[in-house]
Amino acid sequence: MLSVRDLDVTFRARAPVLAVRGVSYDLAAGEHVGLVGESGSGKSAGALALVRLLPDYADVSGRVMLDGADLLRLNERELRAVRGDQVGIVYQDPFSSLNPVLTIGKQLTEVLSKHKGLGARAARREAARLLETVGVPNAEERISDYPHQFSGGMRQRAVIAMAVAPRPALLIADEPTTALDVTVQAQILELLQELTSEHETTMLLITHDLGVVAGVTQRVMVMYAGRIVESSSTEDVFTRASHPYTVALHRSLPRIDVRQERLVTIEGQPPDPTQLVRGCPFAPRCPSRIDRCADEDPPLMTIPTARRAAARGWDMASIREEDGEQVPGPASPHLTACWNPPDPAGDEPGPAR
Amino acid sequence: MSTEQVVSPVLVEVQDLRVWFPAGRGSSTKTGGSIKAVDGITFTVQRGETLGLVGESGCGKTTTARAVLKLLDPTEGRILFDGVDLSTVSRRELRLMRRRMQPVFQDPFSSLNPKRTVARIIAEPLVIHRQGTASERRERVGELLDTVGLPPDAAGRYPHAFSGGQRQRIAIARAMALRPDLIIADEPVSALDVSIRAQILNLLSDLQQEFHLTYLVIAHDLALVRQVTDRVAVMYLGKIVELRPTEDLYRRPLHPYTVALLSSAPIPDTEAEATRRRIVLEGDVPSPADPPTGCRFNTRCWLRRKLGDPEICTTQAPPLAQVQDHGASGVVACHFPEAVEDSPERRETLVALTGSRVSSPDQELPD
Repeated sequence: MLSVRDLDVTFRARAPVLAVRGVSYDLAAGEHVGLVGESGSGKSAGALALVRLLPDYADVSGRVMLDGADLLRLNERELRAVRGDQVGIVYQDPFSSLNPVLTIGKQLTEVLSKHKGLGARAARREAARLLETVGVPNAEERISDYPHQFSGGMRQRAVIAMAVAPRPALLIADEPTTALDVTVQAQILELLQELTSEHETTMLLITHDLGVVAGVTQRVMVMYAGRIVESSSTEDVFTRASHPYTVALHRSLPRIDVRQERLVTIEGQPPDPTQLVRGCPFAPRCPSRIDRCADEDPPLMTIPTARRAAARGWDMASIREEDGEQVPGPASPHLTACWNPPDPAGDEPGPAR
Repeated sequence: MSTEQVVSPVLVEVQDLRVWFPAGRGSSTKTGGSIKAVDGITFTVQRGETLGLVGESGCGKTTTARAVLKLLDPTEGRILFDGVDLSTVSRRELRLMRRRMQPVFQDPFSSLNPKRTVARIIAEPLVIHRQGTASERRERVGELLDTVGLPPDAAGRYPHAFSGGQRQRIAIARAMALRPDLIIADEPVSALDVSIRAQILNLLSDLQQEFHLTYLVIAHDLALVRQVTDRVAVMYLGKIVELRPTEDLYRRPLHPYTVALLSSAPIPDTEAEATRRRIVLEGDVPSPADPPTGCRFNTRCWLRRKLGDPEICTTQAPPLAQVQDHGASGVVACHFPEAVEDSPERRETLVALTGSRVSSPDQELPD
């Protein structure tokens, strides 16, 4: 359904910021996929680049194929039709996606008349129905409210209503619950889950919170320093994480089930995004680093290939031969960008469990 | 200061604190509408402990912290710091008191002046409180940088040269400059990346050990609060609904709101997430300008509905009642805490949480 190849995003500045480096993946229709990473990992820049919502000083290259069209090569008019109609977007801060001087109803009806060609009255009726669907009580009355009269959770519901109104094929949700309280967070995730399942919408859920993807996604891609470093089913990422960064991330999460003597830390900092990194970007912080990590940036490969490649000193070409072209997608195996992945079977330290 | 006497175990005592803000333009708390941000709370912070204040936005936790720091004046009630009532002290005494309590804020990007060097930022409290000579201050800055794990050459640089985690270390060094007794940390790691949070929390814990600090920590992340606190106060709409030793609260919560919070917390485990049933609280938190009568949680309480809407929930505010639990005492404000204990909702919530990771030997399953 969506196919991304070799996506690079660079922010022009005195020292250019290399935000996304050669990211490729496929999404199938109806899939829910999590894109997990910390700030600066390139997860948001990578997702917003798909529909070219980045500022002018961002250089984007690669291919983003949606329904046979390369989104990176569409003109402004074609692109506007894609955003909304085919791709809906929900941002972290619901305030930023609502116009403060227009009522919620006005903004919803605008979307509906533009994208679905509804007349004024029909659009208003549909707007009220949509608000009700997303769980805004007294939708008929509240439709005349302004965004500031809505609570944070209600605002996010309204934004979601606007995003799903045109029945987009793809919904990009960028940290949709980060600004919300925990009890509301759970409601919003449930709502997203419901709406996307109902219409078989593909969802790309971007978050820094592993807990958020656990309940909502089937697949997860973990990003670090602008690259996808691990990709697998959500279950595997939680039970058999194979990239040392993912493993460390799991361990450093404070556990709600038990009090720990001391929190496990990932020492050091992510690399400076203005510097080209030689070798694996996680190597300086990595407990399972081997010699090869300092010189060669590992591509995404299957775990057996990673082990064989490291043991026999294969070059990139033979890895590609052995492993085929490994792009994260609905049918791809568990992939890791690591020369020495910790053993998920459990001899070596894996994530908890 | 004082002649050596028996030191009270209580460092901070908050008595029936109310902080009301005038609602809307031109109005005042006297003439009518007011936002009851904090509406009658009582608690103590013991010397050397970490007390957590948790609750959703608008529950009054930050306002409480600001009142303790005397950054705002209470509408009613008293705050005693080391036995001294902050509202009756002279300005001079207040200055002395203020040295002993220091804040650490959430966002290290906005809490540090970008135009000042790190040395100047850290030395600022020393300058304000006229501590030491310039060279003594320089020496102290060096000591503090070392204490929080920053290199000595950080002193001459500006905040922008540092990452979020390092900036929070700078903010902590500044808070430590006057050798305070109490540190009030409002969401100290929530603006930081997941991989950096543990570093800062471990630092705070080391400092507490080394310098016998007392912490009042405000946070919304329940997993984190379990790791760093000794006791937890759960707030809802300006009131404390439950205050218990941390482990008791997480293992045997007694207020329906606490159970709901625990039930909402995301669990980083696919199986637990797939099988758990969440308690979904209906609607939003009511406005603190017009809180519900009786128990403030009654409009969203899952238990009240189950019990067939008992009248008492809407007519009488439940007092904070003492509870004894495995020999430890705590308080809870609910008319039906036994019903919470017996509820399948609580059991299910606790099973989902405890089943989330490998269980450790000291882990007891809820009965």
